[in-house]
Amino acid sequence: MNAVPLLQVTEVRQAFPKPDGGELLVLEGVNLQLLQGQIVGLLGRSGSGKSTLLRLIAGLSQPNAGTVSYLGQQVMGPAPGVAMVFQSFALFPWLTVFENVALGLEAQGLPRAEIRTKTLAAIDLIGLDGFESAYPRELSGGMRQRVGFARALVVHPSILLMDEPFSALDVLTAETLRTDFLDLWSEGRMPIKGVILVTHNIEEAVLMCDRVLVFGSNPGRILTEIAVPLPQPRNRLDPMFRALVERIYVEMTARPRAVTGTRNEWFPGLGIGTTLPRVSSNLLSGLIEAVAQPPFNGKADLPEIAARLQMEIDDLFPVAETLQMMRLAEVEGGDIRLLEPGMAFANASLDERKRIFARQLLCFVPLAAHIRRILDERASHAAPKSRFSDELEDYMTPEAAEQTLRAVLSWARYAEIFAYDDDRAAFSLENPT
Amino acid sequence: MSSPARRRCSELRRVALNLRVGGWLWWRKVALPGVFPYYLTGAITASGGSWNAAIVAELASWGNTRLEARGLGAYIADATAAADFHRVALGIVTMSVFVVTINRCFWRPLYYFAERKYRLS
Repeated sequence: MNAVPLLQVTEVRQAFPKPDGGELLVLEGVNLQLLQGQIVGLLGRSGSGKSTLLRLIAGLSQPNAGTVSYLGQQVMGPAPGVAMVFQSFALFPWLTVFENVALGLEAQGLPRAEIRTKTLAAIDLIGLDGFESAYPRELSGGMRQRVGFARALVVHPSILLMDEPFSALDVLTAETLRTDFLDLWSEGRMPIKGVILVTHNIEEAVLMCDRVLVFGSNPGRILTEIAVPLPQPRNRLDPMFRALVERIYVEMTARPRAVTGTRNEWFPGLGIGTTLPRVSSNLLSGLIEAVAQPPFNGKADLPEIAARLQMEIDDLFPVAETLQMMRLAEVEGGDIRLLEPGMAFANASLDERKRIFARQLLCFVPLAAHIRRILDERASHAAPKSRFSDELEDYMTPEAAEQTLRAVLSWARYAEIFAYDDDRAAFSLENPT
Repeated sequence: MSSPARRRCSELRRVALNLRVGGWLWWRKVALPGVFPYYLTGAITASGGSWNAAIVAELASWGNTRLEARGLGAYIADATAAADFHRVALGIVTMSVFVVTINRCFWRPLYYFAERKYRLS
């Protein structure tokens, strides 16, 4: 193997200033090595800093601390040997397919004839012949992403960075593009020597990568590294494949060891200053029902239930976490298990369900209990929204405060523990039970 | 700019940075086409407003000072002062025909062209 890694990321830390003067820590202590001939996956939920790391690697921004080096040289600006593919394709709508692909070569100031030959070769390689003169708006999502790939490959990069390249595509198109990409990669028909793939799709990571780095959030950091020793092409139904998927689920749902100074992800802080995810009560009861029913009977394997409900981890995890926060279910070791109130909820009538939900909400979501108490204490039984958003903004950004209030409100409405008048922007006890 | 357009815009800037597009090429292929629809929206608003202002400004009086230029605005103002409703109506109809014609023949095609070719969506 080559002694000098293609890419070396050492102790990278990245933080952004917050409006209140503090800082938002996005990445901390990240180490990563990309060797020749490898596809490395960065797997994690949205907000775990994967895309930020990718931008640092591409030299589009600089880390606050730590270094990124490419072939032993520290990256100080946009690196010539590194090309990117974006989730949203990021094509220039006013340029044709040919012009989009040729842009990188024009930027290098190559002669026209050479630009033409190389561009046509890249278009040909990626299966876009016949579409040279089309504008992006005329193409389907899959074809647009092929342009994205051609544009990245035409400059003959050594490293290809892919930021969730298949997640904006439908299932079938995504699979076609993945297999086409893996074919080109294993046949060595692309100039690239190494790939970094950002994804939140566990199966995609196991299908494509040689190594998977699992990211945790708050702050973004690498939780664990999992090698995928399976030969290409891989079969999703292979027991070894399933075992690896299962193992990643276990890692991603592991209760974090007591880490000082970081927030606990699975029992999100216990105070009112916890950012709550916007998960509708329909999703919560839907997941409870799905887990309660056969074949799961109260305990389900997360990969299995994700496949059955066709949910990706970014959809499923917030729902599971919310159930866990309300002690309706427990998530550990890649499984979700309904607790007693959760089982009772699954078998209850609508009114009974609302009672159970209200009890769990008031007991385990401090913000809900807090709002209810303030409303109870006031003679008017009403309080302006700003009363609570100001309080929350001591702990979080205004957007997060808005999201948190909306989340707690939708649960409270379902549980009928308090109401909200959007015209007057005020919480009240007006129409609870 | 709407927030999805803003996001698209910053992503396209990132692409240009990643491909190291610079100098005149950056202006020609990235920046100018990118701002064109927004520039055009501004130009339409500005031309409407300034045409109005120009017509109004054809006749101005302050105390005993009276400034008058020759044109449609002055024509309408004179007619109004003389309470000649036929001439007022003629003036206003002419003005409306001007506005509609310029919009139909010039701004609207340009706007649709920009919308089709340059809008980030």
